[in-house]
Amino acid sequence: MLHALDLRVPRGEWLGVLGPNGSGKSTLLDCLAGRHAGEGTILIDGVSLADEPMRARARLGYAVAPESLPPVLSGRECLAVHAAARGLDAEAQVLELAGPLRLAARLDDPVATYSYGMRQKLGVLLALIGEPALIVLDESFNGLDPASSLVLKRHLRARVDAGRCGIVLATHALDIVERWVDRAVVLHAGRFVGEWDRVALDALRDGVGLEVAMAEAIGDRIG
Amino acid sequence: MPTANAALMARRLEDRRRWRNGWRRPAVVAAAAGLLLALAAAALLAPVAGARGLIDSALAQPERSLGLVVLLAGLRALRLRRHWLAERPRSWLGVLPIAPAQAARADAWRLAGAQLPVLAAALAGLAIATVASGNAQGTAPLAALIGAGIVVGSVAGGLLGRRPAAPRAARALRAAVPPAVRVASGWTVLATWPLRQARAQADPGLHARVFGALLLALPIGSAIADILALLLGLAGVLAATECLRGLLAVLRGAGWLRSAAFAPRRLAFALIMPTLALVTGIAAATGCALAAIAAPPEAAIIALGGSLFAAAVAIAAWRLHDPTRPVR
Repeated sequence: MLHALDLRVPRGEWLGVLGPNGSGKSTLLDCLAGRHAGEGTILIDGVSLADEPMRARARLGYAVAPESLPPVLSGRECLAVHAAARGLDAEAQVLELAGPLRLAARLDDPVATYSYGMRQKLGVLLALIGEPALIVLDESFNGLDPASSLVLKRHLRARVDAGRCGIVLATHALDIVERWVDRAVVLHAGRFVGEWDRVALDALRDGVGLEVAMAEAIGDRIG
Repeated sequence: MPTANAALMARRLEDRRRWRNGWRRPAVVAAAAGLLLALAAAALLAPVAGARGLIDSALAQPERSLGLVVLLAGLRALRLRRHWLAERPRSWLGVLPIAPAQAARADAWRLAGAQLPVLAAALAGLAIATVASGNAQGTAPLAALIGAGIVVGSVAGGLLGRRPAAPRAARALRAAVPPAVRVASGWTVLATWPLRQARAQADPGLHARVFGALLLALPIGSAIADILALLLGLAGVLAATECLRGLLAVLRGAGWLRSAAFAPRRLAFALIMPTLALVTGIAAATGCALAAIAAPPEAAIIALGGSLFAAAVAIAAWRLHDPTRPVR
């Protein structure tokens, strides 16, 4: 359960959401996707998710969980379906990214034959279709090989730096947060209990480390 | 803004792929073999008075028969539509900008696909009853009645199902599984796994609907012995089917045992034999009960044939999914 949260992620910012298991990270992301009807207001690129869900969702890219992808369809068909929902015939930009992610050669195979990491990549590619103003990623780097992970992080970073989108990433991978995000918040029991900007994250990386800082923020004792 | 119906596009693509791959699926082959077995059994038992009475009654009161088919198809359509509405936010299309009207069109397509196997099963049941009755007259009008009833019921149920299904508590059978009070040996766990799986995935609501449909379809004034024989036969078939479904689900999901060094025969024996023993027991009990209420003596032979069929399916499934063999 989430308590009153106030969060703003502008274009040009990559936000990391940290927190222990069950802290509300995925619930927060579900709210952003309109899967949870609760009190409060969610605006995506200035459009209310509750009042204009179609327009708001057209501005949102949500990485599909690997287990949710349809096993009988091919990767290319999945991309075509998501492109069609956004009124696009093809998404050359996303297909270009499939090459460096080592997915291009398998795009015509059924998703059922994909490894977990390949499904993760496809899920993220689906989120990138149609220049979304906000990209939402839930543990989307899990299972990716290091080279693909680096390609994807660089691509996302470039999008953010160009001011094309904002990103919300929920993760337990502290190394990604330490190096790649602009700001990190810590959720615990549905409340924000900590927040660090890029300068603070750099200081933590060179100092006690994010693990210790996060544990202190949520009140855990570490050996 | 979206110009194409992505939900319908996804549904059609998935259906096309499933249709292409479907004929090779072991479940389809097993269902076809089961139908042939049932038709052979019906031919062996024909003429069965109960089957004749059932068809005569359906023809004598077509409006009642049509109402029953519409009701059952409508309830299924209503339940499916509400279930799909509830699961939509979690699906891979859940966060896309898809208009409600587009989603409704995709649901209508999906509903048509979901009701097709029901239509096929109903027509197969009619074929079995016709063969068992020993008289083919009335088959065509009844087939038309079933088809029309399913179409009308599906449309009505689909239109009425506009509210997502509420999340439900664990089903009765699943909730009835007692908590583990002691740690059983690994072999005991393997031996009871298919039966626990069968218990977990059995749907008492579905069974109740099947029994209810049969009771409603029976001619008024049927002999108690006929009703009992039909109910017993159906109960035996349902129980054996659930056991076999549980075993097949376990064999399909046995890949996680691949890394453990099991002796193939012992593992196969542990996983399969309890279910086969139970299915044989169910078949024997059903055959004895049918014989006791003056059903034809061939019923016992047919029950035995059913358990042999279950054994054949289990062995075929083991050969297909054998986790002791390396992945090809």
